[in-house]
Amino acid sequence: MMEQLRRSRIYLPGNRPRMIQKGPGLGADAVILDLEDSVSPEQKDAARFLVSRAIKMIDFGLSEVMVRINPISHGGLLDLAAVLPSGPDAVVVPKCESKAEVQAIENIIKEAKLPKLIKILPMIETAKGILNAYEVACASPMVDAITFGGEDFTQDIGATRTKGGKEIFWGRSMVIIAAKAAGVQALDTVFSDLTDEAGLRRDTIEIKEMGFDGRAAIHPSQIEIIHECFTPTDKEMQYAVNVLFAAEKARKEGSGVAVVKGKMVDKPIIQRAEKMIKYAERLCVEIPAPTI
Amino acid sequence: MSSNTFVKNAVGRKIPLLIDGKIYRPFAGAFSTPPPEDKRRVGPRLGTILHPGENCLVPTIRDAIERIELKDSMTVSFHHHFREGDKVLNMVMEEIAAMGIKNLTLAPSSLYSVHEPLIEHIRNGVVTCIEGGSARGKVGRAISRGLMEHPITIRSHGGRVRAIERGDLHIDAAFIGAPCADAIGNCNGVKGPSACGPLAYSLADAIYSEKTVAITNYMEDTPVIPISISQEYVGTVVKVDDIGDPSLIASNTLQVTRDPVNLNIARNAVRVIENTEAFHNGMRFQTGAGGISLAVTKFLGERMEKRGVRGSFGMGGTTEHMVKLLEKGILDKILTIQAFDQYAIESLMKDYNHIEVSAGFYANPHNRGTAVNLLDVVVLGATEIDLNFNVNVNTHSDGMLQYPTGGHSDTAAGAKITIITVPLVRGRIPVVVDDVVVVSTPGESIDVLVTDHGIAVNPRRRELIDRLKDAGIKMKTIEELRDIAYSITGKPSSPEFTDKIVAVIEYRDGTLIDILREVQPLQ
Amino acid sequence: MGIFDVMMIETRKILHEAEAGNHDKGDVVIKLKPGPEGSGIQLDIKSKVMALFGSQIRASVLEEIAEYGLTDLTLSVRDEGALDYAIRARVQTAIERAIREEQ
Repeated sequence: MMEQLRRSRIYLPGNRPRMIQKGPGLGADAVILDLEDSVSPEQKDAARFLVSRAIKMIDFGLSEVMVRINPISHGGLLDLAAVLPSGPDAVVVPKCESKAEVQAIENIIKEAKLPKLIKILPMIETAKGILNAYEVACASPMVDAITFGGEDFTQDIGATRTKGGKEIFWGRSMVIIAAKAAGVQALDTVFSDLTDEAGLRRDTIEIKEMGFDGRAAIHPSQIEIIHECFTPTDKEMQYAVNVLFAAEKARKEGSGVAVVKGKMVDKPIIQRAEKMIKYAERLCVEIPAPTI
Repeated sequence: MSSNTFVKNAVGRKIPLLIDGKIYRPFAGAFSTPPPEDKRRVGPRLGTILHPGENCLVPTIRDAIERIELKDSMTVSFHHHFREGDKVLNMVMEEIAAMGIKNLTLAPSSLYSVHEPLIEHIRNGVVTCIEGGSARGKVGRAISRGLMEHPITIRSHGGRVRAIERGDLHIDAAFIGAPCADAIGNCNGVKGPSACGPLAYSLADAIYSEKTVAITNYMEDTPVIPISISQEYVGTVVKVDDIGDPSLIASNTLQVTRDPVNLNIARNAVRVIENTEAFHNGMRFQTGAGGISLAVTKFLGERMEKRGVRGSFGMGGTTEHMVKLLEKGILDKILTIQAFDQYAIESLMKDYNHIEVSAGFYANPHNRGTAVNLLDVVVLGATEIDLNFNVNVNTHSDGMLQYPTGGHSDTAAGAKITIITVPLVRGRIPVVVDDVVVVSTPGESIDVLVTDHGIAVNPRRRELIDRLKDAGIKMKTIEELRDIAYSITGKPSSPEFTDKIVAVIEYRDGTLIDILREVQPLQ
Repeated sequence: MGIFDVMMIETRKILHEAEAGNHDKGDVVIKLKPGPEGSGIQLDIKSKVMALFGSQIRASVLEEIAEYGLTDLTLSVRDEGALDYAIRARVQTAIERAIREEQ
């Protein structure tokens, strides 16, 4: 089964009908109807009713529909009771720190006996969460991605958020390593400076190169840039095509290992190239002809 | 013929032919009604003759009104180049009211919310009839609620000039807010603190009205240069302190929309344009000044630059974004009827290849040739569109009169390809509907509808559908778009109206394309 | 009893006034008050899109009230062009708040 495209995801405040309704037009790979941070404590009930109906009544098109619930200890159960019957695609669990939390949610989803496969996306936002990231990622077959929450994490470890991001570098790396070891996607946090488009680009390319499969957007205007950064460049495409061509040629001629750009093309490189071509096909990016 | 005689016109609207004492011909098709047999234009009488050393400058507006001998039951006109920043209309009408003059027909090229004081003048009988572009804000709503005894006549830019030249709209006194004028009546709109760009909407008024008054707040030595309106047509000049609020006349840079939905619509519109015969060296296009339109101008310019396509001219409703295309060499020329920002005004003044054109040059269908006929593509908006691609730009979905036709039906008729760019729903209001409140522009002039939920092409344009299909552009039928709209909003009830006709929508050739009735008060 | 088992309540009654929603574009404010016995359901609806959707709004509100089997109440709607699902959600929220025992 093809991996879910999650280059971008955007939060929609769960108690604001107008914001929820803007969701379909944003073109994000995933929308997250939020019952947690963007909803005040007195309005949690209103948000539950609104979100559960919105999931049923609004056509979000190609976007994956997720709901961020409150922690189980703070109303998460009521959230699940309200929204699961509507059939969201995934449940986002904030401040996840242990496999027990994930399994508790897995049990509730199983109990609901829904006709649909629902994913769990744990958010790793604390120091403890980072240390337990691998066990969280492995906790259930319903988990197919873990996300890194940079803002809360920075606060939790008593660091200061900087442009360079040194305070979250290790956290990011841990999430990526844990995710890939568990065979799930790694998704990154937001880039919070709305005015700095160049910075968003730089940061997103960097995290893509680190191994993240996508990141969150704090504003709709960021979505397109994020997608651009995750789209293979002409250069990357050309290299991937050449690698596969050379590998196929070497295989046919029985000539052993192929060489592209002076480097031996071995199995990991071929696999990466295959993955990139598949990814490009999904994004309808034009596949160039080989130039070697 | 009694006022109960109804016919169905060429867009299927049931209309009476006798309204308020006037007999109308029904709309028969965009190019089906030529000018009357005699093909005559009216000619006003000669104005005051000035002898050597004389000028026509008077000290106050009251002096001007007295000098032109304005009387009860006459027709007065104003332009709308100052938009919401206008002070001239209110100023002059206040004086007219104070002088006890009554029963006037007001013939503005358009009305804005700033003209709210008109409601009082109408209540007091100063103004009893309006022949104009429409009425925004409170005035429009009041008219929809039955404020006036006589229906307002709504014309497009081109239709208004046609009516003036033919004498259907006979103007006794044209009041022209002139940002720059001299003492014998030469005017332009590009200089002075209240510069607005062209004076396109006033030229026909100046030429054909019996008396013309230029009202200015900035004078230069005679003759002013450039001359937008010549002293040959102006008989009186008044200098006042203030004719309009510059910040509302010409804004700083209008922002391209940041809304991803609107950006997407704009991008898809440009994709359509790129894949039609409109996209070629020497192309001529027009876009507007709304959020989506600005994005279209920007993206179109980018595509033209990328593919080495050079445009012959851009027309508008001109903004900085259009001017930048001229400056980059993507466009050879710009023809401007209305300027929306400072940048456009300055470009008009300085750039040899940026010229002002009058409303008649732009759009009058009963004259030798009009600029709209040269257009390859025009991108327009709408409040509603029906399954026959008929477009409503004059009212809201609830039946309230709000917007002028402007150049909509003119450009749509003239352009080879007409594209409507709109969101499919606005809040809870569907834009694609079974029935529009009024038809402003007939479906035969509309070719493509681009929304955030898909693109629909008028079935009349078989070759266009095939061409876009070959280009890989996915299309839906307009019925499918209507279904999607209704699935989001629910199916709306039709607004309810009384029998009273409050507006007559005249097509550019003078025929009757639709009528608007008084909104039924709720409960 | 799991969280998905529905609690059957014999008779539901509005215990006190309650309100839901916001005065935002695309939202609706619902105010609910208990009425004297025998007064039935009194609706007071004002909407930005009254001419187009007034009767639909009325029908949706009555349906939501009927789901709870409630009567003898006054419900006011101040709508800023909310879609149907949002109107129903806000009505449901107001009802739930109104039938809830105050802490």
